[in-house]
Amino acid sequence: MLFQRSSVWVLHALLSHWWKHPVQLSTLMVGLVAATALWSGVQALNQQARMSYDQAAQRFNSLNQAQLTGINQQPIAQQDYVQLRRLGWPVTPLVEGQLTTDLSPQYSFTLVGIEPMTLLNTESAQAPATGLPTNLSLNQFLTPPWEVWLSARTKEAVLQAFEGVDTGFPLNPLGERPNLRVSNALADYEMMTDIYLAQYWLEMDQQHSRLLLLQDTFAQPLPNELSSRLRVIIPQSDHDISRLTESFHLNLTALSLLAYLVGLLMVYSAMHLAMNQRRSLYRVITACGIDQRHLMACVLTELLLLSALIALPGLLLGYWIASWLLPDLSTSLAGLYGAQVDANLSLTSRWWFQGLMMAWAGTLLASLLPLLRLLNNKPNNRPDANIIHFSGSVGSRLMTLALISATAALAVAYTGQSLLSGFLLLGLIFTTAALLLPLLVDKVLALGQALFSSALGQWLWADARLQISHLAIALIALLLALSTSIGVGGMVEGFRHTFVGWLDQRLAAEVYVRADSQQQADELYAWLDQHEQVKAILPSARADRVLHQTPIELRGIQVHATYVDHWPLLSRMDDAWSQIEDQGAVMINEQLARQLALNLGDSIPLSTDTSFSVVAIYSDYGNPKGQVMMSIETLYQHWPHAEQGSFALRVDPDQLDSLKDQLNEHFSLGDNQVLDQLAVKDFSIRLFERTFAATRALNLLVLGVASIALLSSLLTLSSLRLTQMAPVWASGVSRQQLMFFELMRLLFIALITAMLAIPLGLLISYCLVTVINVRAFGWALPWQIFPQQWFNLTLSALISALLAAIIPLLKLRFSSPGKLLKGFRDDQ
Amino acid sequence: MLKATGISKSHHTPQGPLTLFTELNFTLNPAESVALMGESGSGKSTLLHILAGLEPADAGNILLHEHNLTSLNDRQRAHIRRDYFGVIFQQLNLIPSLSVYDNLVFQARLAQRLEHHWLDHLIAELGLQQLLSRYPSQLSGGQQQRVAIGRALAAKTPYILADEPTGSLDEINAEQVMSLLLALVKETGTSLFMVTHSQALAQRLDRSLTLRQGQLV
Repeated sequence: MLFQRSSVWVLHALLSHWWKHPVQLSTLMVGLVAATALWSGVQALNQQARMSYDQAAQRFNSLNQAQLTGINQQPIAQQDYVQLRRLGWPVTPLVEGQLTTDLSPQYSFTLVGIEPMTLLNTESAQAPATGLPTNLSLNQFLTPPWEVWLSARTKEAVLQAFEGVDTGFPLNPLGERPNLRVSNALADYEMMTDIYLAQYWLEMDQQHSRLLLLQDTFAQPLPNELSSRLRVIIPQSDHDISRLTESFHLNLTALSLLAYLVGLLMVYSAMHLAMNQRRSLYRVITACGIDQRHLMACVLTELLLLSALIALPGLLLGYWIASWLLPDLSTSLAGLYGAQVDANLSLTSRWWFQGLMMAWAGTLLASLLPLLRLLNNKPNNRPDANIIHFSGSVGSRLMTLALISATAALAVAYTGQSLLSGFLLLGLIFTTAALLLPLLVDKVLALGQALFSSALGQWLWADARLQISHLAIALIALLLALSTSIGVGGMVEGFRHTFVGWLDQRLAAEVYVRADSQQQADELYAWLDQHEQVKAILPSARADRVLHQTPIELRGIQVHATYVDHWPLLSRMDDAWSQIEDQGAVMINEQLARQLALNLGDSIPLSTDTSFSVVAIYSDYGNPKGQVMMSIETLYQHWPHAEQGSFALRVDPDQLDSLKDQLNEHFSLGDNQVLDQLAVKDFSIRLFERTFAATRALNLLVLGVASIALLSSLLTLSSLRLTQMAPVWASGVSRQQLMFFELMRLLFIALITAMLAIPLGLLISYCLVTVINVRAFGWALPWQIFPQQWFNLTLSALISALLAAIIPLLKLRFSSPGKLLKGFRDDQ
Repeated sequence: MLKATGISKSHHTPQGPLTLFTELNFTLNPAESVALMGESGSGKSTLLHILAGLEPADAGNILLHEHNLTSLNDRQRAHIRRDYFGVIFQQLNLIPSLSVYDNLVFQARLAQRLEHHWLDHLIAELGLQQLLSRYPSQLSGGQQQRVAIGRALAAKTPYILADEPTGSLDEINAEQVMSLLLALVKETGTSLFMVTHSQALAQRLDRSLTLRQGQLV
C-alpha cells in the first residue's frame, strides 16, 4: 500500500514548504483560483443556458416543434381546430398566456392549458414532453375542481395569491379552488392545467394560442379556407436553439480556456520553482527511508489536496462571475436567437465536480515535467537549474518546436473547415508565439549587449538576459493576455463600427409599423396614404420555406430608393435592383450564400416549379437564419398566403413624434407595433454591447491575471535578485542606481513583450474576423486595425510591470547590507 | 554487520565511462567507527550513497544482517534505510520548511520509533533546547549540523553514514560537532562510517580507509 502512516509525516514535510514560501503559495493560489474561476464561471453560464434550452424544448416552445399558428399572431378559433381534427390532422391545442396577480408582492405566472386526450394519448414519438406524470388521472385533471400542476415554489406563490380572491384566477369557474399538484419537471412560475380552465383564466373562450402538430412528417397542404387564417411552422430539426447558440457558447468557452491556460502558466511557474527548491527536501526524505514511489505518491496527494482546497474558492468565484455575467448573456441570447435563459443561476453537482476535475487536471498538467523528473529519480542538481541560456541548445529546441507548431498552424489554416479547427489554429498560433517569445526577447537583449561595451552596460544587458529564464512564463502569460486583448478588442471594435454602419443602412426608414391583421393593415395603409408627412409607405411580407433541409425566411419588400440607396450589399450585379423589381430575381443574405455556396448568377430553387436568380448578397449580422429577399409582388405571386409584415415609413424626422401619436390615437397600437428607427438602433446597439460584455469582462480578467503572474514572478525572484546584485553592489554601484537599472530593465522587457504582442494580436484579430466568425456565425467582417488600442495596451503592460516592480524594488531599497552580504555568502 | 563485497561503480561522462572503483570489499562491524578518506572525485561520497542504498552499484553485494541491499528494490531499500541508517550530508541536511524540532523527529516518526526521553536527552546533549522552534535558515552552519546529527540519532538506527559532516564548518564548530557526534555514537553503540578529508578526524575513529585509484587501502 502506497499510503502509509509515515505518509502523514512526509506530507507534513512537503506541505510545510508552502507555509515557508507564501509568495509561491499565493502564486499557486491566484493561478489556480483564476483558472478554475474563469473556466467554471463560463461553464456555469453555458450549463445554465443549456438547462433553459432543454426546459424550453420540453415545454412545446422550441423551434424544433412543428405547429400551426394564426396569421399575424391571431388566436386560433376552436372551430378551425375541430375542422383540422376531422380532416385527420394530428394536432393538439395549447392555450398560453401570462397571469399576473394584483396583490403585493405581484406574481406573474406562465399558464399553459393542454388538451390531454389528444396530447398525452398520442403514440407519436414526436409528442413533446409535458412535465406531467405518466400515471396522470385524466378524470381529476379534466373535471371540477380541476388540477393545476406546478413546481413547489410556484405552489407557495399561488397559495399566497388565493388570499382574498373571490372570482377569476386562482378560482375555477365554479368559484372553487383547483387541486394544486407539484411536478418537479415544471419550471418555477409555470403552471399547467386543462385547456378549459386556462381559457377561463386567460379569457380565451373557444380560442387556442396554437396547435401542435404531433407528426412533423405529416405533409398536407392546409385546406384553402384555413390557409388564410393559419400557417404551418416547419420544425427546424437541424437548427434547434441549442445548436443555433452553440457557436456563441463555443466562443465563450474558447476565451475561458485561454484564461484557464494563463492561470495554469502561473501554476506551472509556482510548481516548477517549488519542485526545484525542494530538491534537498526530497533528498533528505529519501535518505530518511522513503522510496521513490512512496515519495511520488505523497507529492501527488499533496498536489491533489492543495488544488482541491484552492479549487473551492475558485469555484465560488466562478459562480459569482457567472451570476454577474448572466443578465448580459440572457439578454443577448434572447435578442440574438430568441432563446430564453433563466436569469437565476442554478447549478448541478456535475458543475462542481467538473470544476474540481479541471483544477486537478490543471495542477497535474502544470506539474508534469517536475513530477516526471522526480519519477525518473533525476533531480536537477545543477546549482543554476533555474537559469536557462536561450542562445544555447534550449534555444534551438524551442525554435524547432516553434517551427513545428507554425507548420501545423499553416496546415490547419489551409485544410481546416470547421469551427473547432479554427480554434485549433488560434491555439497553434499562441503556442508558436509562446515558444518564440523568450528567444526573441533574448535576441533583442543580446543586440543591446553587443551595442554596449562598458562594464556596467555589459552587466545590465547580460543580467537582463539572465532574468528572462525566470520571467519567461510570466512574460508568456502577459503576451497571451495582451495579444488576446488586441485581437478580441480589435474584432469587437471593428464589429461595432461595421454594425453601426450596417444598422444605418438596414434601418433607413424612419418608422416601422406592424399591423395585427390584414384588415388593420388595409386600414393603416389607407390612413397613412392620406398623410402628407408620410413620404413613402413600404409594405413587406414574409414566408417560411425549407431549402435543402435548411429552414429559410423569404421576405418581400417594395423596391424603393430607400432600399436601393442604403441596403448593405456585399456584392451585386449591375442591374440587381431592376432585376429584382422586374424579373423576379432575388438577393440572399451572406449566411445563406456561405451555407449553400451560392454566388451571383446562381439559381435558387425556392419552390418545386420555379428557380430564382441570385443578383445580390447582403450582410445580415446577428441573424442565425438564411434569408431571401425579393419584391413583394414576386413573393405574393408565388406564395399568396405570405404573412403581412411591417410597413416601413419614410417620414420627415421633425414630424415623427406627431405621427406616432396620431397612429396610437387612431389604432391603439401596442408598444411593439410602432418602432422608430432610433429606438431600434438603440436597442440593437445595447444588445450588441451586452453580447460582448462577457467577452470584454473575460478579457480584462485575463489581463489582470497576467499582471499578477508578473508580480508574483518578480516577488519570487526578489530574494534571488538580491544575491545576483550583491557583487555589483559590492563593486561600487549604489543601491539607488541598482533600483533604477532594475526598473528600467523590467520596463524594457515588458515593452518588448508588448511590441511583440501587437503583431500577434493583429494575427489573432485577423483569424477571428476571417475564420472564427465565418465558421461560428456565418458572416465575415472587414478586418480593421485600431492603433489607439495598441497604445493603451502597451501602456497598461508598462503600468503592470511598474506595479509589479514596486515591492521587489522596495525590498532592494530597504535590505540591510548584511542581507546583501549574506546573499553573497550563500552564493559562494 | 554491514558488509560490501565486489562493489564496482562507474559514471558516464561526455568523454566516456569513468570508473570510480572496482571490486571493493569492506566491512563495518557493530559499534565500530570507520573513516573513509581520499582525493576529491575519488568516489568516497558515491560509495557512501551505495552503502546507504541511495544509489545502485554496477556490481557487487551489500549485506546488512539478513538483507542483500543490491537485490532489493527501491522501496525495500528505503525501508532498510529508515530502520538501519542515519545519513548526514555535508550541507542542506535539513528540511528548510520544518522547525528544528520537526526536523529532529522526522526520521524517528517515519520509522515509528520516537522515544521522547531519548529525544530530550539528545536535545540536551546537542544544546538545541533554545532552537527547537527555529527554522534551518535561522541557524548557523554548526547548529544546522547538530540538528542533522540529532535527526540521525533520534531514530536510533544502528548505523550512521556521514558524508563530510563538518566540511562546511569552521575549525571550532567542526570540533564541537565531531566531538558531539563521536560521543553520542559511542554512548549508543552505533556504527559510524564517515567520509572525511581530515586526517586528524580520521585518527579519532577506530579505523581509517583510503579510496585511491578505485581501491580501498
